[in-house]
Amino acid sequence: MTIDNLPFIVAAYASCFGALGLYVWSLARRRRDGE
Amino acid sequence: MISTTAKTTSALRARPFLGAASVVALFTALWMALVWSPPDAAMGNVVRILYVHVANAWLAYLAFIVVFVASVAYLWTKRPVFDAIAVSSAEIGVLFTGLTLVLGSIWAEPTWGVWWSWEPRVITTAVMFAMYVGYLLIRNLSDDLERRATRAAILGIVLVVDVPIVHLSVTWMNALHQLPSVLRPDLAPTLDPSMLAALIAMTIAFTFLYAYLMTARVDIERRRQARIMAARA
Repeated sequence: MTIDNLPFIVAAYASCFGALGLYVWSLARRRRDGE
Repeated sequence: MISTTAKTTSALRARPFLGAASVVALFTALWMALVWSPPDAAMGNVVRILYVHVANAWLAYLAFIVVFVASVAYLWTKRPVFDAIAVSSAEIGVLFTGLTLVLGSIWAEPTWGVWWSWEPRVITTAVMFAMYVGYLLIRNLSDDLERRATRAAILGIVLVVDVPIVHLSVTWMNALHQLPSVLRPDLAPTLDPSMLAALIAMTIAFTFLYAYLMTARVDIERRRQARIMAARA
């Protein structure tokens, strides 16, 4: 099965959930460091 | 003098529930967006990017409307919790707006043939992103909690005017960006029902995520306010 534009779809979902994951991690770190 | 007592609120107690709900809703929405919904007749599979692009855009609208409401509430009551809500929602809204631009750009390349186009929806969204980054930066111009919160509240009320401009820009001018297909004046979505269901599922998931992020971010801001007030006393 071939999925058209697969690299674009992967890039979009990876950048979206990667950025959201980084933000959740940064909030946890700021909370832990007592910022 | 303003009170900055950081206390456990019902919102903080709801955080574990919101985190679990976000994870479950996101996995369900991802399955619907990537597996269950069909490819678009014209766009093919690249339409799947729109489920996250549109959800991010709608949640950015919501986040900036919350900034507006919290700013009005702060000026009305002078309670610092509303300033904490405003700055938290602005920060999360900037994240959603930035992701909207990035995801739109990734979608545009295979669809429009360009990564970026100076067309009304893209320009007004980029302006909205820059304005709320400015809102966050301007907050650092004063160390005085009340002065900073008051200035930010005035800005938070003024800046919300860009939200309807972003949404309606495609109907006011000739635009490369497609017209609204869900939030339409006639309230009649033009999407296929399965695509609409996937988009609604993703929007619900992002709404849970927004609520979860807000409880965490507001808690950090309330602690910061309490420390500043304690240091001043």
